[in-house]
Amino acid sequence: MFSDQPKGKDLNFELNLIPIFDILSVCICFLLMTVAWIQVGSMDVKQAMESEAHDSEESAPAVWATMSKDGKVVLALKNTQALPRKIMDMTIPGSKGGIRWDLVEGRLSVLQKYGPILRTGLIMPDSSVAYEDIVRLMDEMKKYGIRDMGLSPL
Amino acid sequence: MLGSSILQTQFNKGPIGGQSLLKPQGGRRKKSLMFTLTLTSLIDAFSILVIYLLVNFSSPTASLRVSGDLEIPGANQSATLAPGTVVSVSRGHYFINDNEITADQLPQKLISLHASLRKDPTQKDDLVIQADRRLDYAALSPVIQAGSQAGFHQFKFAVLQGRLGQ
Repeated sequence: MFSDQPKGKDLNFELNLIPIFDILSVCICFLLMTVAWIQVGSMDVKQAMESEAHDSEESAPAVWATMSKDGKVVLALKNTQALPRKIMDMTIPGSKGGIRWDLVEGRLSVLQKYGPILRTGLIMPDSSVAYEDIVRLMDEMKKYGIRDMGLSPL
Repeated sequence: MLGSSILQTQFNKGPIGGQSLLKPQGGRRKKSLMFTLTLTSLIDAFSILVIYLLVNFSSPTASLRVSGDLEIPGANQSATLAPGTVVSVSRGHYFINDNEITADQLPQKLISLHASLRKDPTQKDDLVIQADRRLDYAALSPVIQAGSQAGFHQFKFAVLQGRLGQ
């Protein structure tokens, strides 16, 4: 078996890594060029049909958020037992046409602390409210456990 | 020429050759001035990079084509984007799956799309809304109204994960 080997020829061999290196470089270049660096997510909103809307209105406690063009946000509790007025109806005034997000966050935390277990929210924006403000309010509400969101058309 | 090439040098002066029990070469040869590039560690690093990129590449998200002038808002509590019928709103123009339509045509188009989606049980009847973050709600409301009218239950507002755009 070893007779075919010329005398003195090295039996050890080393794997030539250069082609592997080339293939990996090409793979990396391809993946770097095609991978999505910016992840697009979604903010889910359940739009109830007429009959469903009627049913859910009667049962689950919900928070209704009205957004005005001057940055005012009103959070009102619906379908719940009587609670102090300062919890049932919270008005957050705007500042210089913008929404005071720190106050909105504070009020939502108060709602979750002292109010009923809220899972449903409805946002009713004014026609001139910016879309990013609506998404941000949804984001804040989801942060405080309000998972089922609805958006009222004009 | 072959004798002086990098490949030849590497082949002869590689780390395995020096440690061989059968024919050790380490101490026998003259010290070459040409350095040996150790590719093993580089291959390791490259392999890790490829695996990392492949794992990121194969995340099960739907892709969304966002045109250059459209800035979508950011949100922290966003879900993974699932495929669906895409409606884009940009500067008063409405697009359904990249085809431009007028606001008046929205309900009719969405109704016909929803009807065709209901025929195929494999298709999800979600409405993905992609709009510019500076857009007024007045421009967005017709889409929501038309979508509800057409029978879409789930609306998915496309957002950037993390509040990057703000």
